[in-house]
Amino acid sequence: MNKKTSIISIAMIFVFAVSLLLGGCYKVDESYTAVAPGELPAKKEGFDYEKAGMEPYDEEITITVAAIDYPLETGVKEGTTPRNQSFNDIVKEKLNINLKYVISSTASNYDRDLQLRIGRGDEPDMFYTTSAQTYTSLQNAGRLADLGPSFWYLNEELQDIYLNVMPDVLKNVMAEGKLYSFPMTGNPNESAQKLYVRKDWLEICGIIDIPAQITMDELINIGETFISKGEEIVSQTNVQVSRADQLIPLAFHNEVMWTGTASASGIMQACGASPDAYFLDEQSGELYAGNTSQEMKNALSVMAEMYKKGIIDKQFTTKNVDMVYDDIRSGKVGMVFGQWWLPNGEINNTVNNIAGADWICLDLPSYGGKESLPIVKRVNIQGYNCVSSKCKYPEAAAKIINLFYDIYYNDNAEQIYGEKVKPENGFYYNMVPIKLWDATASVKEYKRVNSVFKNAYDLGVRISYDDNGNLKDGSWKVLTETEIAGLSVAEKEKYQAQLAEYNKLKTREKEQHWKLGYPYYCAVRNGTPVNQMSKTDKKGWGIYRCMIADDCGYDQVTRLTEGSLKARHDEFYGSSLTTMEAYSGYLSNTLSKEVYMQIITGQKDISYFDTYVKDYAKNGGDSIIRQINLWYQAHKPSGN
Amino acid sequence: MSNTNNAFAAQPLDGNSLSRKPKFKITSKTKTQLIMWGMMLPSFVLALIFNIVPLFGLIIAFQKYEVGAGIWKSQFVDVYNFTRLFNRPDFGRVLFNTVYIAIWKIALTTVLSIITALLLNEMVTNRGKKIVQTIIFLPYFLSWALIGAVFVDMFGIDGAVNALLGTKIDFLASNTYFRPIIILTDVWKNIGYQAVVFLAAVTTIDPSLYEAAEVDGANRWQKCWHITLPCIKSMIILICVLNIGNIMNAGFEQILVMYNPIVYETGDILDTLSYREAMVTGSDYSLSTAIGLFRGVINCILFAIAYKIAHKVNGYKIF
Repeated sequence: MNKKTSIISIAMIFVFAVSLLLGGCYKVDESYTAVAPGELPAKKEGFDYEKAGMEPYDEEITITVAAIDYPLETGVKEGTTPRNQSFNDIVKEKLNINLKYVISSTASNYDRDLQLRIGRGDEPDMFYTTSAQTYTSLQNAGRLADLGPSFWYLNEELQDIYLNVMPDVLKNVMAEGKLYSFPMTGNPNESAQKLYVRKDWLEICGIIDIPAQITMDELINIGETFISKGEEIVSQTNVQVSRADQLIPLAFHNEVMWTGTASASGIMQACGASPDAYFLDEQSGELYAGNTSQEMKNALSVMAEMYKKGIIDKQFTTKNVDMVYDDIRSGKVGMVFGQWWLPNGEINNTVNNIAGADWICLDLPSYGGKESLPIVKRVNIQGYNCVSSKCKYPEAAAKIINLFYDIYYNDNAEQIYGEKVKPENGFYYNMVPIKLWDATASVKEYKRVNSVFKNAYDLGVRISYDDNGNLKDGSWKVLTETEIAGLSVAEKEKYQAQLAEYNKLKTREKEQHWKLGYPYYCAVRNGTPVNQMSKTDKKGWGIYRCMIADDCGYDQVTRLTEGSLKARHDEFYGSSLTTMEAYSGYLSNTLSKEVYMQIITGQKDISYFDTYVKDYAKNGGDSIIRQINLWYQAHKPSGN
Repeated sequence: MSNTNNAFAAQPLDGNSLSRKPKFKITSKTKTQLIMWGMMLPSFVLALIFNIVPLFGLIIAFQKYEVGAGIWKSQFVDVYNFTRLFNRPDFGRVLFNTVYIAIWKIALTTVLSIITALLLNEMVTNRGKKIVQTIIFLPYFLSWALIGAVFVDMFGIDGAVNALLGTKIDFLASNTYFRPIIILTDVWKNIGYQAVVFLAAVTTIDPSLYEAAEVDGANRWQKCWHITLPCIKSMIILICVLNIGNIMNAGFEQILVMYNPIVYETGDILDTLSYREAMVTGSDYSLSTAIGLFRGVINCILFAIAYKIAHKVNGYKIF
């Protein structure tokens, strides 16, 4: 080594040592300073916001946007992409806005592409992000436009949701009277879980008259019976397995920190636990972490017992959600937890493709002698509609949102906006770059559909199709003027009453609920068993179990929303906190995941949970909960 | 500068000097050199764009990078991300897994591919040699996304391996079996490629050496030991040096497809950790970049050491 090299080496070591010392000086900011949301700016005197909210610009303006290129749903015109969707033409025609897509990525790449663009200071004028971290970071950097003055451009329904139905949502994106986003809201109760069980398996096992809520011990007994009667299940159902031990009494996937459908979250919720949630301790008035709670320990203990007995899928550690869906489709799965919409997905597939397959829907099993409550977020912010501070027309965001809302929820959209609002002409709601849902719409829809179906049935409306999709004789249908003219006075009166009931449904409900669900509803009311229904009538099973039956998934959501059913709440709904950014990567995505799975599979005893709790606290968990409690004291939602 | 001026001043300013032709002349050698440089230019530009310029992004490793603030305005935190990485409770095992898996992969692949190349070289029929060569080379072209899924199925409880052994073991959820499976499947995939490289080196050996050895009564083993191996020594060293410089790359795609949280203990490597931090957890690009930089520096150091050793032991030089 020559002299010059030595000097360079020594200099580098010195710089590195100094950097290490300086690096030790940096500390994660664990404080939390609440910024008062303030009040929205007052409306301009004499300005017609309602008119302005849908008024076109005098001269064409160009707005750059980002959108997710989702896979197309059935019925949407083939080849539709964000860039060529018909919504762009409607925006151009009605608002004189030219939407220019600078990002059009698949769902898995969207966040990355958006962040890359933001990182180089070239974000679109308007975009949607589900990442609280991205939103917070942009707000802190002063790169988001103040949407306060634009708020009043939103239509009255949306203003009402923000101001009266979910006021905490708006406060969360406001600081000192400035509004930084139109947050996407949803009914938080829609994430409540239900237990779905194969009815035909239960019948084969001789288990009948099962109550709406069973206990955890009963659930385990059912699982054990499915195992012991496996040979009979295989021989009597069209399941695609060669041996009885390939049946899966209870299925879930390996994302144990995920709270969605077909996850371990169902059993966790039944035991009062939920991953990455923060619950209120009534006595101390402080929040505690769901990950390290006694409830989570109980849930893991139950799952370990079930795994040992062979009730939980032995291979769940290597299965993702799609693999679980494959198992459900092939008829191997006896029980699965999921949200209200699950029957209209993979489960519906089994009913329609496997002869004799049927499912029942139960509430979460009770545990330890206590009633099990679904766990939902106190305040549900699904994402953020943001406008860049560089955008010259921030109010255009409200106009675009209003336009989408009017197309999606207006029953006369086709008359107003023409054929372009039809999916077959390239309108796909998922690809609209910025939008807001009516978080209260589905409850209204559920009630309306139920009322119409009951009344229509009482008025004698019966509909049934044959296997080929042809209407059977005697089925009710909308008559032509000539046909009506041929009716007797009494028949005409009866028909008019039936039609009036039918017309209470919105166009979309006529297409989905009525067309698919009503024949199934009639068959159920007529007492026809599923296996005796025509293939076409049976197709309505999914929508019936989701949105029509008395014990359907949405019935639970409605009861939770109206308060007749209690829920346990995850209290934290804030944006990303500094301690979470620093520590949750290891705590949630490595430590918790690994320990939970090791305990469930028996590789570690449940007593190891106590060691995990200490490790969790030591490696940042304590800091997170301290900061979350500071946040909670400043943002206690109304009602607490 | 003044010297230059003086030099100019020293030139006699007369008519002859002004009409003199410039000294610079494109000789045929310069012309060849220019052509060579021209041919190298596209690669150089590509390397500059895709390898050199992005190095600037490493600055993120020393920042608390925030998307909103961007690379220019994010707060500098010195080596905080490195201390955070080194203080992570799982850092030790991740580093160990990376090195352990990589060393086994490199050692097994190199040794087995040399043996395969020698065996292939000994095959009498050319057709048989080509068939075997093609078969073992084929897996190299398959992506881990595809064959990873096949292996996940094969090693599952209801998979082919359990059916063959008559067992009920979830191999990919076992910390005992996960690493050996990762190593062996990677060796299976890559052995063909390296064997072909060694075979190419073997075919360049002068046949007269073998003929002379035969005259001296050498058997096959002796010919292999005393002629073939010494002749392909430089290729073996080159492959080893290159592999050692890759020791912190334990096979990201393969492990990402085949691992799951229960085998983090034996299967989590620096690359998968980096991926989780940047893409899964919540965009911790700073920590992820720090992991990448750490890995790169270690690779660089190991490469330099291996190269130095190769140079000292064998007088071998790449550069």
